[in-house]
Amino acid sequence: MTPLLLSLTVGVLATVLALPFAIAGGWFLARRSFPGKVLVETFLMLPLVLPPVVTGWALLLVFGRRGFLGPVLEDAGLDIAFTTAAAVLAAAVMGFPLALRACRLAFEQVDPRLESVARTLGAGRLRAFLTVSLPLARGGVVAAAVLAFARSLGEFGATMVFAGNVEGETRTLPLQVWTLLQAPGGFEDAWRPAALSVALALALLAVGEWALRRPPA
Amino acid sequence: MTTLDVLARRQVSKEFLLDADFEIAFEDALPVAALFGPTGCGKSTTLAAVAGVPDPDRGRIAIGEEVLFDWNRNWSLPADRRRVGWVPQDGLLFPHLTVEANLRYGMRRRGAEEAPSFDRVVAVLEAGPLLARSPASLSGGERQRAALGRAILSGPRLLLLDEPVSALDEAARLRALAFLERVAGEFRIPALFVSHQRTEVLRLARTVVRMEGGRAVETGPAAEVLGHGPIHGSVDNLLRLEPPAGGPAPGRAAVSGREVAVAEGAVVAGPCWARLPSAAVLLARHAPTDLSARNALPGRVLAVAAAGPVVRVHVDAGQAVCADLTEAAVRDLGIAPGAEVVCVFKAQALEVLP
Repeated sequence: MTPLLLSLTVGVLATVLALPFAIAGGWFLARRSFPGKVLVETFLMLPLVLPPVVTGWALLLVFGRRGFLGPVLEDAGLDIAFTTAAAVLAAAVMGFPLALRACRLAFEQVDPRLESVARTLGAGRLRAFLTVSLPLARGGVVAAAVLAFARSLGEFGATMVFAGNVEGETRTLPLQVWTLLQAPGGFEDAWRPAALSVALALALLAVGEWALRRPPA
Repeated sequence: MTTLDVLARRQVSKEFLLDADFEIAFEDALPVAALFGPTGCGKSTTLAAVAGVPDPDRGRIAIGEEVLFDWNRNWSLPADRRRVGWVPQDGLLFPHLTVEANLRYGMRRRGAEEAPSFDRVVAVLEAGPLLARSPASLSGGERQRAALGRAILSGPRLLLLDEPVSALDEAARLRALAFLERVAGEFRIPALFVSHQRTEVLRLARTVVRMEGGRAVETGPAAEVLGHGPIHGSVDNLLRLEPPAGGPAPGRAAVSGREVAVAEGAVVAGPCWARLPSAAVLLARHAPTDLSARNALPGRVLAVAAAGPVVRVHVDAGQAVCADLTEAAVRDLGIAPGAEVVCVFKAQALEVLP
């Protein structure tokens, strides 16, 4: 795959992977309180502030061939590190805190009593959530998706460590820029992937702005 | 007869402990009861506990034989299976759905054959023109009506109404009260409502639980609990007026299809409301002749609130009408629930509201 196509594929898959967890986690943090909540929140926000290289190293520790889950994955015939799957996982982990935060803020804006009303009208927990809270938090969820996608397009450090720089498999646009910059005479060639990145970023900003300004139904 | 048995204890905040213990037996004819007390006495918390949103810390709540919550047995029926219609103070319609979708939201729970039908509820609550609108565009009274309809359509065995009319202005409040009365008469769903206003409670409720500082201090017939004796003062009946059958004419109108005379030659050109004080209504066993009062509406006695020298008689005359009589008159006329009576009142007593 070309770096552009790979960037887009990884971005979409990473967003699809991170969003359900961000929605569930955001709802939970907005609605429930429990002992140690602050600790959990801090831990979940960690990838946002850690150097991405450290996050990539942590992913290797868990999913690498000699990592914590390595034997389990090997038994299942899975080899994640240094594949496209690793690039997706790295991007998802890096985008997750942003998406979680956006979802949480969105759910905090929805009156929890609306869900209570739905429950008394005969809706189970899941139906109350899917028909009331989620549609009302829709704007925030769209924003979360845009943020996660945008973050994954810019992802470099964690991907580099966990997924490597394999042409056609993990070499996304940022890695392509970096690779070209490393090669003799590549400084001039880097303008193409760099320009593509700028174009993508502008398009995303426009989509994000549109999603935020859309009036709630 | 439905009974509601509540023992609810909940530490709402550091300062406020709810510790309510009461039992209500809803009368079949007019199954409306009220939790009455000042703001912040725990009425709404009690109501929410019955709905299970949330459960109290401990206690026991049962409707008839069915236990909804029992702390001792570690039992809590999930809120979606309690079959109670909870209407919070501001109605809380789902803002992303139309009024119609709101009304239909709870219908999936009940069986298809179960009354009341969607059309009937919409007709009684006059919600037809609201169906396509979004909740944000409704007035306070309209929102309240839609929320009430949504709760009724979910097939509840008990309605829980939190301050159903107090957020409304005077005119809207009278109107909403009339709707509540009509709903109670029409659908006969036991209803427990919360209020801090005597007049509302006297007008609607047969049984009252008086609450103070988180405790239920007194339970009994409305007149007894609120008046400690006779009923003080008249309540306002609110009647829906239509133009008379022959078209609008000065001083003429119709109530539930019966022609009536109204004060000061007012012209009723479209549906509107009129105020009729309960003290201005006489009851007769037969349609009177040779009487100066112009208006006579036949009806059936729903309930008799006997307390002291004044007795309030609730009549279903197509619309709910309260009449204040003396105890002796009630006895002599043989007025009891189910009796056929005629409500008689002067044209001057019926004040058309703008």
